[in-house]
Amino acid sequence: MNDSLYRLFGWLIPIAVLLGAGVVIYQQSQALQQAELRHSNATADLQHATEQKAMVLALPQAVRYAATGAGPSEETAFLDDLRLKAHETGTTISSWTSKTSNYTTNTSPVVLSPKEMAVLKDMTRITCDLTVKGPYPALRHFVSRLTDTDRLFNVANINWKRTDAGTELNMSLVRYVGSAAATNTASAARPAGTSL
Amino acid sequence: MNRKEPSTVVGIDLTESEIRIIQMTPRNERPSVLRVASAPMPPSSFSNGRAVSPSVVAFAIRGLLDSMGAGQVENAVFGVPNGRTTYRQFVIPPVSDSEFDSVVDVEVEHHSLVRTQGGGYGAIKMQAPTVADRHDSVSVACFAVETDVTTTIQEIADKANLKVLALEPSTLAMVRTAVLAQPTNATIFNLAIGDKSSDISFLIGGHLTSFRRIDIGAERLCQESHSRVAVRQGSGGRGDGGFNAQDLNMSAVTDLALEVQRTRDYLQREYPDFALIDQIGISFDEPELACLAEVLSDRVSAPCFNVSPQTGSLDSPEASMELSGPQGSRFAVAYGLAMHSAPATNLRVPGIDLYGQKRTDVKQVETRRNFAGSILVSLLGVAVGVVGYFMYAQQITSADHETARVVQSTKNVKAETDQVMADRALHATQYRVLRKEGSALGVLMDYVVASLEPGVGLSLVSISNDYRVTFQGEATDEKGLLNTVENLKRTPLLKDLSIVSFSRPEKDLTNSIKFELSGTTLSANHIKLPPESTVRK
Repeated sequence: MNDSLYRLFGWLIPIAVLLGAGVVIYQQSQALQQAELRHSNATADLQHATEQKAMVLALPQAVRYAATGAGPSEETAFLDDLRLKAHETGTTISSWTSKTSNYTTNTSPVVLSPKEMAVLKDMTRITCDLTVKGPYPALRHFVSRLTDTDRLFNVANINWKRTDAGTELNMSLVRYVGSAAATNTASAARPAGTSL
Repeated sequence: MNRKEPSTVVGIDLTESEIRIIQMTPRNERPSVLRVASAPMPPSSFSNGRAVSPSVVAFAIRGLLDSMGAGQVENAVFGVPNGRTTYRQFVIPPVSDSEFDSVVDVEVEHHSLVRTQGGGYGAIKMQAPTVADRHDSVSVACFAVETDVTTTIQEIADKANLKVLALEPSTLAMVRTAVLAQPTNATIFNLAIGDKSSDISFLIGGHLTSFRRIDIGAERLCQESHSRVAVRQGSGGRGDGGFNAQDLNMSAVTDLALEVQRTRDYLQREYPDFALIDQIGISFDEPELACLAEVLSDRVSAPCFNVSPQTGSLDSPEASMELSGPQGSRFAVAYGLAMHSAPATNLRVPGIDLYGQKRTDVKQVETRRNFAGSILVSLLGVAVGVVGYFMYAQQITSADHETARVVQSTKNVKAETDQVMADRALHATQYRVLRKEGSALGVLMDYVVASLEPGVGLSLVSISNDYRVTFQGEATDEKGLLNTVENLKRTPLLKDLSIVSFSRPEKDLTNSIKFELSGTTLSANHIKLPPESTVRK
């Protein structure tokens, strides 16, 4: 290789190499800027999502609820509360029976659509056949105390009759309990047995 | 005076006794001698035409340049004594100027004129005076030096902070000095006395026609060096005219005269129309040879004269005075060297550069070194690129990982939010759906109680699972019963209300009317709930 080629390549090689190094570094620099931009956007998205979550959590939550978590003390707490309400309203619970059934199309007393059945699939229906005695105003007050609570109590199969000894109300008092997954939010706020 | 002067060149003649420098600068495209100076060569630093102590010589040159006010001059032309050059004359076929160098290169290689790596050579082509005299071959005078000379000169130049513009045989510089001192078209026969040999130059019409080297130089022409030193000391130093014919070696003078005469005869035979040699110029740089012209004139039957550098109006007065004085002849070499590349002078005696090959070699070394530097820079560039790539890649990877983590966190937060909303919607739906299963007992009873007319009482209110409602009771009169039924029919919670039966049993002592009503009621979800009393967050 003669001197001219040495001189030529002596310039060309470092120029090409430095140019290449510059291009590589420039491209990497651009890639880093893009990565930092993506990170910045992701951080902004996270902040937005966090704000959305806080906003959702801050929204007013319905006080009324259909079911509470199924726990070992649920039944006991329900009966205690029932007796307390009877005592406060001046009525007497003369008898009661309890029957538990899971939700299926056949067990529901009313016709529900498949979509409605889907939202009830994890729920259990507990029917308590109840006989309460007392004066009419006291029974009426007792019924109000039951139906005006945050927890849903349905009354069905009602027999309200007047006797010589007073007024007797036979009814099926229905309450609902759900699985932990279905009632996790409610369970957290309303431990079993404390809702009545 | 210390400023750098453009295109200024110094001719430097190094002898065992003296350092002689002439500074020349172009002025109006003509050479102008600015300064002339000389200084004794430091003892034992220059011997046998070679610098024994280059550092000392360089220091002396730098000192002399500073003392003469040459300042920052860079370009220098150095002379090489005849004893350090190899001379050879050969013939080559007539070739073009572009082919001349390569043809001469082959001849130099063939004759092994340069025996060491780093040496150099220079050649001058002889020119016949007329076309008729041009034969099928061309004579070439070739001078060569070995690497010890070029290396030593380079070392001196480097240490004296000078750039070697050219390296030229001293006798060729003398010839240039002689030619410049005579008319352009004159036929010139010049005898340049070197240290070991002398060169005869014959120029016709300003062109070098013949060149011959004779192995009789100043050292042989003069007496033993000890005698010369003794004579100098006896005459009070270097002396100017303190030498006479007795200081010359008459035997050598006789031999020299014989060779000169033979050359004259040859030239007169070869060029009968031009070789009318009526005078012989003698160039030298040793003051002891000042009387040679007089002695030689008697022996060659032609007038001889000592050549001194020509001075002109462009030269500085001080330089003119120095050069035209009795000691002016000793600057013949320095003057010719200074005029090596001077405008309008080098056409008459072409300058040669014995340093050219060395310079080429140095340039090659520099080129290789620069190339190696380029490769090093390239490797550094590659290293920078690789390091930069990986550093950036590391940062990019780190940023991407962090971005992925943030994106996952965002997904989790969104999923949690969606779950919360879905749970709330589910619970609301469950509550709404399950209310269908209950009866609005309290509200219905309130409507029923409010609908009863005086004299009407209920003994049984029954609501079945399919929301069938049955009322059983007693009424004191029919009107009250019918009004009660009408009232109940207006109740929004009752539909299809009808009287199933009513009767007045004969045995009943109360004489009351027993009745039974039947209808349907609505499920609890048809009752609008009152606003929630509390809001839990």
